[in-house]
Amino acid sequence: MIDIGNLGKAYYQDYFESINLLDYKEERNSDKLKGINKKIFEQKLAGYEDQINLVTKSLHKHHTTISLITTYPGLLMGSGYLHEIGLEGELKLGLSFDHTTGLPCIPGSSVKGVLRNAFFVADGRYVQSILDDIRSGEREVSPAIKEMIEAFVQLGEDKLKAKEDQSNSTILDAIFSGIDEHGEPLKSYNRDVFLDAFPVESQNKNGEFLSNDYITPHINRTTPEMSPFTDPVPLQFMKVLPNVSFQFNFILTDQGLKKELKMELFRQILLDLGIGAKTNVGYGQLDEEFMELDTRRTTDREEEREVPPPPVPQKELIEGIPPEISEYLKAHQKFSGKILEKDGAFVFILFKVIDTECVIRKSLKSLKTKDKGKFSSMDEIDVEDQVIVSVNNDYQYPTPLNCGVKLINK
Amino acid sequence: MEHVNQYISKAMTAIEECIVKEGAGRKVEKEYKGYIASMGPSIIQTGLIPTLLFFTDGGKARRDTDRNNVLVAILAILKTWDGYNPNLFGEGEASGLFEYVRAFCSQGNVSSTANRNPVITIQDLDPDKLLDMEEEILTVIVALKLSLRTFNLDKP
Repeated sequence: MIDIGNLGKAYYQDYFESINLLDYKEERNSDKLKGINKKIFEQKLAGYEDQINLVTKSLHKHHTTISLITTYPGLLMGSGYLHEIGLEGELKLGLSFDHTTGLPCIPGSSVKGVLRNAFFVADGRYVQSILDDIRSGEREVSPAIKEMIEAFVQLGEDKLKAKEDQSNSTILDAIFSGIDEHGEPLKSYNRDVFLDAFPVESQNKNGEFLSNDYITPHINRTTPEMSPFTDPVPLQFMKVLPNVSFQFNFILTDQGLKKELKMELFRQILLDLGIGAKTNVGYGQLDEEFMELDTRRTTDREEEREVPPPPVPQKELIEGIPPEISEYLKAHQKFSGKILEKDGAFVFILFKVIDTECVIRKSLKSLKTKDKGKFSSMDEIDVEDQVIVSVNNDYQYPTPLNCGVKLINK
Repeated sequence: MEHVNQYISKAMTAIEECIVKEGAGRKVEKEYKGYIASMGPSIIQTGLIPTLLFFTDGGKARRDTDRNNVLVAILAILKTWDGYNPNLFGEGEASGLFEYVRAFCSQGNVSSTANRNPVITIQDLDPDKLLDMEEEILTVIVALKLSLRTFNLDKP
């Protein structure tokens, strides 16, 4: 892994540093960008331990943290940032990085926005349903939180309604607007604070946590009805891989709801709704446990796939005696050999003459047993059976060898 | 602020000449508001050169708009800047904002590849000149954004 320092700087400021500005559409620039992409994707989260410690170990005692893990296909945040110049091979969309550490981060404003938005889903009934699940035991929580739910419910359900024009949406105002139940602004140290979320652990191959992905829009702007038939345009972008644990950080107070209850509620909202871009197509979903996923990049999978060896071309066995051996194949000469192969009613026999291999083909009927008998079936003969080849007449190349073959052990 | 003020009237003229369609009066397509608004943060985030490249010829523009018109407007305003050098280009040479910035910041700094093809990268540009140009363009963008508020936005 090549250390590229601050990832955010590498992705934005340094990404196009080496392209030729005199002809920025040339192919060499695309190749350079592909090399840079590879370096970014090879970065391991463990290599940013100092930066992660800076975030995790500086937490105040009043901090509350929730750890959640990304799932397939991954997490994408900050896609609205500009990151393209029209070159092939570049990463088209932006990603949100922390300025100081360079780690990809989920801004605290995004976290707050997702959580606040949940209170408007189904006119407050969604959040109410979470609290009901906790109360009914469908969701396991500590007894202390259950007690808080009971106390909360006694206050009245309308406390949770999140209509903008409703003056008694006190929970929403207290948590997200810093307004107490009397309509007075809360002091800043009595308000809930939503901090940035950072990746802290990756269980992917080699600890990698970033990768590429593609979207392929096929929109025909001139004739929209032809869009389904329009050629897709692949756009490459960068995402955070699945199986990366993000730590969400808060400084919570007891305004509106008790902070333990808030933490439980926030956890459930993040698990249900996800965060970041493209949540409609599966990005940004979170889980509480790491999963067994094949998160390797497509090119890695192709490299690791076992390629079957090419089939070895089968040599067609033919009878063959080299011409230079002719003078040694005289009548009454005997040579040791073996059965090389069975071929229907015939066998191929291999024997050596002065270290030169000779192959002859004989029928089953011509083979003799050690007792000079005959074989009745090919099953009685096995490959590798030892034989004696007796030359009957002086060999004349290229005519067939006139010889007798006797098996030694059968 | 004074620096921005001096560009406001020039920005209004530039919008009328470079961005407003012929015969549209004081109507500007709504998309240009987004283009001008996003240019500043893009320069801060990615740098001046990639932003200029994107606005010149990167990404699909919406409706019948062209991001390059924003650069044309900026260049028209920059021509009134004291630091503008009109002699950077010969006759017939391409002279958009990107080409001007490249020429302005790279004077004399042209390297070459092994086969002697001329190459200029961002690293070859003079960082001080690049910073001057960046600050001036950001000021012009602010002026453009403020001036755009006096036009009517044409929504689809």
